[in-house]
Amino acid sequence: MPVLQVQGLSFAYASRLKPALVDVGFGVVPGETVLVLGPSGSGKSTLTLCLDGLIPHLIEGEYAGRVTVAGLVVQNTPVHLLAQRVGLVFQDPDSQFCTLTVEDEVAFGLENLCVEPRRIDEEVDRALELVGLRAYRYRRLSDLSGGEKQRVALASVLAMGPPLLVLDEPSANLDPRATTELFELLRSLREEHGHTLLIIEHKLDEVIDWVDSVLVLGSDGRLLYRGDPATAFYEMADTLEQAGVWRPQTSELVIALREAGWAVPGRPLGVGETVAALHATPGLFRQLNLLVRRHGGPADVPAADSPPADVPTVVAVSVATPSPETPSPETPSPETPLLDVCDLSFRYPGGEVAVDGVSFSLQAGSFVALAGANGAGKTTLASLISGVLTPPAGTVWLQGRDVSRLSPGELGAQVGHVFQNPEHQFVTETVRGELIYSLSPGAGRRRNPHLPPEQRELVDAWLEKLGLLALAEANPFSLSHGQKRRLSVAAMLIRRQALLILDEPTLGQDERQVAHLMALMQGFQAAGGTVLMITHDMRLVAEYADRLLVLKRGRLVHDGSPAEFLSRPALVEEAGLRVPVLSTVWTALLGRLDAGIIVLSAVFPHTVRAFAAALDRRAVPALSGEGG
Amino acid sequence: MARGSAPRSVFLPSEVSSGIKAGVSYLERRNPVIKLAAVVLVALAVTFLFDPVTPLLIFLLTLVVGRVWGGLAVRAQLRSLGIFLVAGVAILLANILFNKENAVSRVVVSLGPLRVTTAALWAAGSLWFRLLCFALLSLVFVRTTSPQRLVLSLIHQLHLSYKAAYGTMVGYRMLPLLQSDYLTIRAAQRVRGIGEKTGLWHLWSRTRRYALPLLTGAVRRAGRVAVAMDARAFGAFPERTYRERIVVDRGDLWFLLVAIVATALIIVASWRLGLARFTIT
Repeated sequence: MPVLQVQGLSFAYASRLKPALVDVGFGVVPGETVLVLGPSGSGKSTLTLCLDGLIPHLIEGEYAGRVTVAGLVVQNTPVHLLAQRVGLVFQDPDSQFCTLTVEDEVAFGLENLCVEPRRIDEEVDRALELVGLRAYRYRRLSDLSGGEKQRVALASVLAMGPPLLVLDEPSANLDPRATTELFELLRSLREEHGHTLLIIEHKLDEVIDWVDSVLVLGSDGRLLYRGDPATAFYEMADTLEQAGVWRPQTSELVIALREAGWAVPGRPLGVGETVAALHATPGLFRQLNLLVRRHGGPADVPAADSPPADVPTVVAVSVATPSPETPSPETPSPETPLLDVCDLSFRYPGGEVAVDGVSFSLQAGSFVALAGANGAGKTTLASLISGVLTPPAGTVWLQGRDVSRLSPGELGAQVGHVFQNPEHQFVTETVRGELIYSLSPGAGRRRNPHLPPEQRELVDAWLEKLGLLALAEANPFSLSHGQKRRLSVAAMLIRRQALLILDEPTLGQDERQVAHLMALMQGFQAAGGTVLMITHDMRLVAEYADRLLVLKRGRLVHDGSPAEFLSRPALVEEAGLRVPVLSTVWTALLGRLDAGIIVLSAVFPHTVRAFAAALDRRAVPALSGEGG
Repeated sequence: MARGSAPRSVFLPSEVSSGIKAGVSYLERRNPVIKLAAVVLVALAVTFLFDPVTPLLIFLLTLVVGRVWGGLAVRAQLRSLGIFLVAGVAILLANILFNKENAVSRVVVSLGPLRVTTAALWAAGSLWFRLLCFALLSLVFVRTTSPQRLVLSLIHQLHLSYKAAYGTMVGYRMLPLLQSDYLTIRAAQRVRGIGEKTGLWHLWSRTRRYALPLLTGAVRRAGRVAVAMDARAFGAFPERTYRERIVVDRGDLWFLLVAIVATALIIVASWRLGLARFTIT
């Protein structure tokens, strides 16, 4: 019997609004793990609320259809009974707690169910044991890290004993290490305790290995696909791409390799499967072997077993995918760099050192990523550059001028800073007003009512580029999340500052929104602008950044190309980040070849395109001729 | 009856619930509502004292109680009262200049044209020490009471509706988040070139600009917490159980009694010595 059965479910928050869900039907069997995908606004979160009865019992609207959880019809069952069958975990840990300590939070649900105090004690321990936080029972919630908070949130629903867990982007606010740990935990819950899981998640590569099936909602709130993952990501790949749904990098790689002429067998999704499939691809390994030999394999380079730390000196060759050359900080550059940071340290009053002896410089026109675990000092560093915080004198130089001596106006004319939450930066009441304000803060006031015609045209051009022409007079707060994000970025870009800093701009955005945003930034870069983007997303870094700075507890531990960083798994791990799936596949492939990973760091394929290109027969005809 | 739910305190030597460490001070262990009652009663008594000496004695007693039974260093207590210590100077100055009995009262010190009279000193001292008393009593209460225990105690002893009480606690949780939101919004808007100009018009427009993102964020967060609470069966039944029940034990009643008696003794002693005054004139 299915643990969850949804039939013809439709829901609209109000009759005049676009329905959030339309005629959705599916079933979930006990022990199954379902990955729920869909673009922003496709009703994924609404679906989760329908499963535990908050819709229709507490949130009203136009409801049709039938949802059955463990044999109980949701419409006819009180919420407290459903709470013991369905556990909900949300994305923001701080917005789901209502008490102050771990044990009180975990006990909260049990107390609501009027469980006897003595049993509550045992259940709290049991639930904390399940999430590996037994020792945290008496801690204050405010002292926990994001990952720990999500585990407490999980424990607080597990305490009520639900067999079905529904998680709504549980890793959205976590850094890569905490994300991996959370998914490992979920996986063990499923394997050791037989929990059924329904997970809404953008970070596909983390879960694709072990989900049983995929459910895709379209932007209209209809069910687009329900079935096994391989069919979704191979047969339906185009449909999903059009819908703006993220796809795993492994399937993208295999599809790209097939397009490059390789007969990759099967429909692999996990790393192991993919490596095996590539291994079984006729001719691919020979090509790889030749590539390795060409760049000096173990036979030619005895230094292949030297530690990876020596990488950069080994290879100067670059063939199919040249890694972007980074100007070494020692070489004197002909012009003054756009930004020069010299031995910058910063400590919050009464706090720990947030930035510790950081030095680097940025050339105009580069796209630089700034990565690191949560709390590594990324935002602090960015704030010191943009003037949100004042750096010590003589440590941050913008175009040869000391930032600590610049007036806010002078600095603002050169450096833009896009904050994480777009709403925080809206200062006017219309979409058009936001763009106008950036060009001329005084426009619209009594003394200065008109904007010069060329500026007005510029604003219109931007509105069109953002797809917001029809919403020009709307309040920025009424836009969708993706639109707000684009507007807040555009409101900075329109000022044509020399340097734009973005703090995790892609958080919670679907694939299409991210692509749109990145296109805006690449346009800015092409026009000579410099981008400094804070992010955890190594996939994004690999695809867009030509340079990567990595912070670890306030110290700069990497300053170079993304490929170089990703080819050193030990360093990635140490910085609290995660090696993207492609790197793992590449490393595993070379491992089978017995080739030194070190040797190939110069052609390290950090994107799907680069990977396929590195193995492109047509691009390297001499190699394939030699091999065949 | 032992305090709290008995087994816990026995089996958990290092720390007990609600974020309070074991080996917590005597005052921290007191029932929050009883402690609140003691504070209110003492403060009420102070309200009716119009001399400087009696409030000063009560102030000193509170300071000692805070140190000995609350574990609060005297210096830390006084430092937190900084603003009220400063207020004393203002009160004194106002009385030296404007006290209507200055003309008829005995002059203690003459500083040029300024005549410091006993009436001025008396009135200023009475006002100031009463103010200090209220401030210190509140301070000691807040520093020795966990908000969680206070909320539970309001539910258990005063039978406050648990829905309202938990609403208050969620609000309390939100305050620091709201504050950090405010700081972020201020920085975010400054980056867009909004100056921190002073003046009424700018104050008004700034408040308006901050209010929308701040409120939008707060409302959204509150909505999410409400959903998360409902999803865990909050409000399913008219009553709920509690992992830890806050009780009133004999020690709490003794504490209240001693607080009342001590205050009364000070007032009576001060009255017998002819120091206490119960009317303004």
